[in-house]
Amino acid sequence: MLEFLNPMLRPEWMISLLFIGALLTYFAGKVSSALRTTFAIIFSVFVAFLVFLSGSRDVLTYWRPSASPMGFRFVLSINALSWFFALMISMVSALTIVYSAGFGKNTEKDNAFYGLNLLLMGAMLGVVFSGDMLSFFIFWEIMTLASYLLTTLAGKRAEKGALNYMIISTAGAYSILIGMTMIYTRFGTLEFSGLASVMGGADPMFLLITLSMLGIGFAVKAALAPFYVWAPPAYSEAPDSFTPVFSGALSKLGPYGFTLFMYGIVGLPALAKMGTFRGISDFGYIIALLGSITAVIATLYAIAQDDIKKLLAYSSISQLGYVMMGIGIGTSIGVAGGLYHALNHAIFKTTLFMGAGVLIYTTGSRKLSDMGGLGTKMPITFLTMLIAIFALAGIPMTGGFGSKWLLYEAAIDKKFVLIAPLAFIASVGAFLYSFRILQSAFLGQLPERLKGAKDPSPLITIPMLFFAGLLVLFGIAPGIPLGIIASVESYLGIPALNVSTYSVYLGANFGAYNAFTVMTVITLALLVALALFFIAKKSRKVGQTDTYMAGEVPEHHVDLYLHYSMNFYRPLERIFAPYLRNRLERLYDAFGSGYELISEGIRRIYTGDVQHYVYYVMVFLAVMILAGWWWL
Amino acid sequence: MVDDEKIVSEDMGVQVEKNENMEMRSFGTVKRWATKRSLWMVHYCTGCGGIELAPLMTSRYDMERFGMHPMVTPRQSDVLLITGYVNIKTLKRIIRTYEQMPDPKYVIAFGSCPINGGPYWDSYATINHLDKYIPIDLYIAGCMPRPQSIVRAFEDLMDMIQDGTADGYMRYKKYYEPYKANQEKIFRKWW
Amino acid sequence: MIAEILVLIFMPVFVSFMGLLFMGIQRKITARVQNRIGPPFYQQFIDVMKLFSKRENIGHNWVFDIGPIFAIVGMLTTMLFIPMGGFRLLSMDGDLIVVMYLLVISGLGMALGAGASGNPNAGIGVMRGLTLMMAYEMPFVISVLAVMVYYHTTSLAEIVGMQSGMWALIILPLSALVADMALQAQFGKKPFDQPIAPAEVATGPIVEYGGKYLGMLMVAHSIGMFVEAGLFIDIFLGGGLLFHQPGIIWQVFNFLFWVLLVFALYTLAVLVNAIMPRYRIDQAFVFYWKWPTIIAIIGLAYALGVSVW
Repeated sequence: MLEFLNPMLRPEWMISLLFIGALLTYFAGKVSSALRTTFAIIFSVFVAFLVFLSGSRDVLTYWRPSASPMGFRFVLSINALSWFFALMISMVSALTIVYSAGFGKNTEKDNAFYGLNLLLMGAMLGVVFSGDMLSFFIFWEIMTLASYLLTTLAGKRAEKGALNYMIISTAGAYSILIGMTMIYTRFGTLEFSGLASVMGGADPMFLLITLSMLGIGFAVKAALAPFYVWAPPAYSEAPDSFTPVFSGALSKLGPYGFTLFMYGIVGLPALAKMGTFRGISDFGYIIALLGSITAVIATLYAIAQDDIKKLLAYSSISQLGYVMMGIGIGTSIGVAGGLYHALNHAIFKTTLFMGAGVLIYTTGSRKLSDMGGLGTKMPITFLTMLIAIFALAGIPMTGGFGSKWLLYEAAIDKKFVLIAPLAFIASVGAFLYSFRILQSAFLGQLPERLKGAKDPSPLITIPMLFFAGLLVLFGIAPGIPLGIIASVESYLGIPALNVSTYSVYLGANFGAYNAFTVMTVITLALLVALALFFIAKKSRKVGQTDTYMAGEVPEHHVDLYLHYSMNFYRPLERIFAPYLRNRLERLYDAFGSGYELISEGIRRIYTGDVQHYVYYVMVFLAVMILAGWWWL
Repeated sequence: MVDDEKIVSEDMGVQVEKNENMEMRSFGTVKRWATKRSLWMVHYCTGCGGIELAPLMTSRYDMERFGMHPMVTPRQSDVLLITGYVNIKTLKRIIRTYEQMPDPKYVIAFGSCPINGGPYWDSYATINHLDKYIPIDLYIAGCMPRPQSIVRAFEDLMDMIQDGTADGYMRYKKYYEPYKANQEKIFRKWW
Repeated sequence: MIAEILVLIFMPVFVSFMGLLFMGIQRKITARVQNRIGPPFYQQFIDVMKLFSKRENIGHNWVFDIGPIFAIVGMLTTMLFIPMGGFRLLSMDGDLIVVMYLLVISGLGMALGAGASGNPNAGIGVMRGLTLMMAYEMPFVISVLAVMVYYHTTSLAEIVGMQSGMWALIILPLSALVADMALQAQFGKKPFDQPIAPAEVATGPIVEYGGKYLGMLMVAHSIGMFVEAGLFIDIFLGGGLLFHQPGIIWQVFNFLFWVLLVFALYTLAVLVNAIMPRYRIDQAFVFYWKWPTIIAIIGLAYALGVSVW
């Protein structure tokens, strides 16, 4: 039925459609805002659909610029790995654009907002579709720039966060560039397919250095410790309708880079040459350890946040730590867990940031303590966010559990007694901070000024419902995403995970998780509980202030603050406060001011006096001549 | 001050005939037995009576023998025990607590103060007859009543629950308007 | 097949019955420790009967109703994934990690309902509950990890099977000790009953729950007692398997021994509960993250050393 689309299922089509769409959208905005929004939705959703249709078929496109002096050619390809990530990215981006159309106005400059969103989507697809290092890097930089500009659209308060993000990203990009240059000078090719055959034979030291250089750049995007400092301000200050993409899609490119270079190009055998620790490479182990440490630290920060977007930002960092942990471990279970968690995180964190946007729009505040009691007023937002939070916490009714389960299994399988407890504790912390969102925003007392709150328009709720539906579907049938991931694994040369539609079996004497049984039992238990509930006498509903407060009647104390959400985890914060005083930020600040000091010192050389410059030249010449005599 | 002339008759419980009370009969014997053997009480320790409850709960008299247990919230409680004088301010809390308790609920007034004001009968701040404001199922006379008499009172309450005469909560519903009128008269401005 | 289904139906009924019975007996035991006479051993049944027969139940909104329903759902589901004395139930379809996460459903649903009541006490109680969970999970997870690392499996049925020679309690005594400390908080007994501290936060999360809601919570609690104790028994006490011969008689004996072990564990917790005051929540947190965690780490290092070298 859709065969006529077949010629369009090519990477260059999708990317150029988005780039053209970006321009069209921007200029359409000059005519009418409705036209602009329609354009943006049509282009993004259509391309997302194309990505979905293209499947994991292998498509390769070569494009050699006629004037290319060094014989470069640009390669775009769709393979199992890139399709998996492209699907994630396009789904999140397209639905977030639909979502942002639901709000009347997202930023001061909405034309640029929609245009840049499409540009960003194109660039992200470009990164995952690119088949050589040059196009990878070009798209990577377009992506960074587009996301930086989108962040600054939020206005004055976002400037500092955006600048932080840009500086650290630039450092990361330089690091990537150095790594790529080293690889190119050694092997003389930029194409991944060519590199994959030669990189395996390189000496371990070279591999370690190049992978570390590339890894720093990817770790910046993945917000891995110690590079995560940009993420909380950037995520939280970015426009509310852009943060879902920022956290849901863009951050996934860090794990993508790691997966591509570690397993797609270097390959497991070559990694193992760098030294192994209980069967996995040292490099991977360090990544995994960093990932689990990131997960714990970010979780502890997240527990203490009152700003909903900051909380979710720290939570993103923590969850990405899990993803990196799985990818670092690098066994069949580990990579599957990491990739699955990346997918889950893309879905649930997008939903959560979307919900946060709705909450901020409704309440006019980002502070959790300013909200309350919205659960019954906004049932759709509440339910979707509840499902997303269940997935975040890893409750076995949603997809989120499957990935966490795989990650634990991977760590326990290899007996990593440092990583596994850290991951567990970060997960328990996830219950804490995710419940804080529920308690503060949706439960408790409804403030007087929020009495009129209601669910937003269908344009906003439909993407959220779609994602929530996906999470539930994955909760029943983890085999659907894990089947795709198994094909990615076999593409990467890692033993594929053994999955059926409903269950995952990891081996004869290892764990099993049958999602279908779990869901069936939960449903049956629910029936029992409901029967018990409805056999007994029906309950009488009372108002929200008719609660036991030692006989006090709150209606008559309007100024009484009844909703317990301010400083929710105060006892816990008091314990952790001495250890969490933004030490890493201070380190970076110290680095920044030290750098400024040195630069200031260097600047003094430039006095502006021509005579001084002549002295410099003469001294330099003298040194050169002396040195020349000495050595030659 | 309370206007003593227009109060609700104290013996109005007589008006609810036991046999006419269909609701009470549908409340089966087993349920009544369970209710009487598991009386959870919230004690409103206003006056000096609270001190008498400590020996009642601990090893000397151990009321848990009868399945009774102190509870802290009215939502979980069956018995409201008012142990001492009730002034206007605490009366508000007592009424609130009473109204938050789910049916069936029983009230025991403890000591002479809730009965007739006791030593504080002429105070400007206390009320003399608690049963003008909420229905009382049982009084324990004395100043102070000993724990033995409290135990005895609970036994009586159990008997009353068994034969269906402990119907204060239904009286409160039936004569809600007069009770409310009395309450509003003393509070003038509600809260 | 039919026998298995019958067992699956029989177990929840049996466990909720025995749970209520045990809780009644424990009230008697507590009373005897405190030199009281105490209620009759069937008191808990009377309480539940009374709660379900209340003529009026007071609720707040539909989210509030979720609380007790989810409490029962979570506990029933978890129970069916735990091997119970010779009965494996559904433990082949979910391993220890699945069980540990299923166990959370109950508490999280409960917290959801409690929060929806709008009572600040409930919010504080939930906060304490979650903080306490984070506190005791640290040593508990490390000690359970020691067992998983030692036997190199995450399957509960496998762990039970491998202990047929010797209990993990004897091989890994430190881990077992720590897990039992964590069990005290899982049962919600003193000195770790901060979430429902009656004198401080008016029973915390359940402050607004009365009538049938409280009755359902009591049933969920009685199942939860078996789940938490059963998990400990399966991990450290060889699943309560006394006899390893096949045959229905031995299986029944095994099951009875398992029930006896649950009773013993619960009694231990109750005896501590009967004579203890209560920690402040931050003290509890620091306690769990200090000594039990250190002991658990030593236990884990031991398990790792034994299993790797």
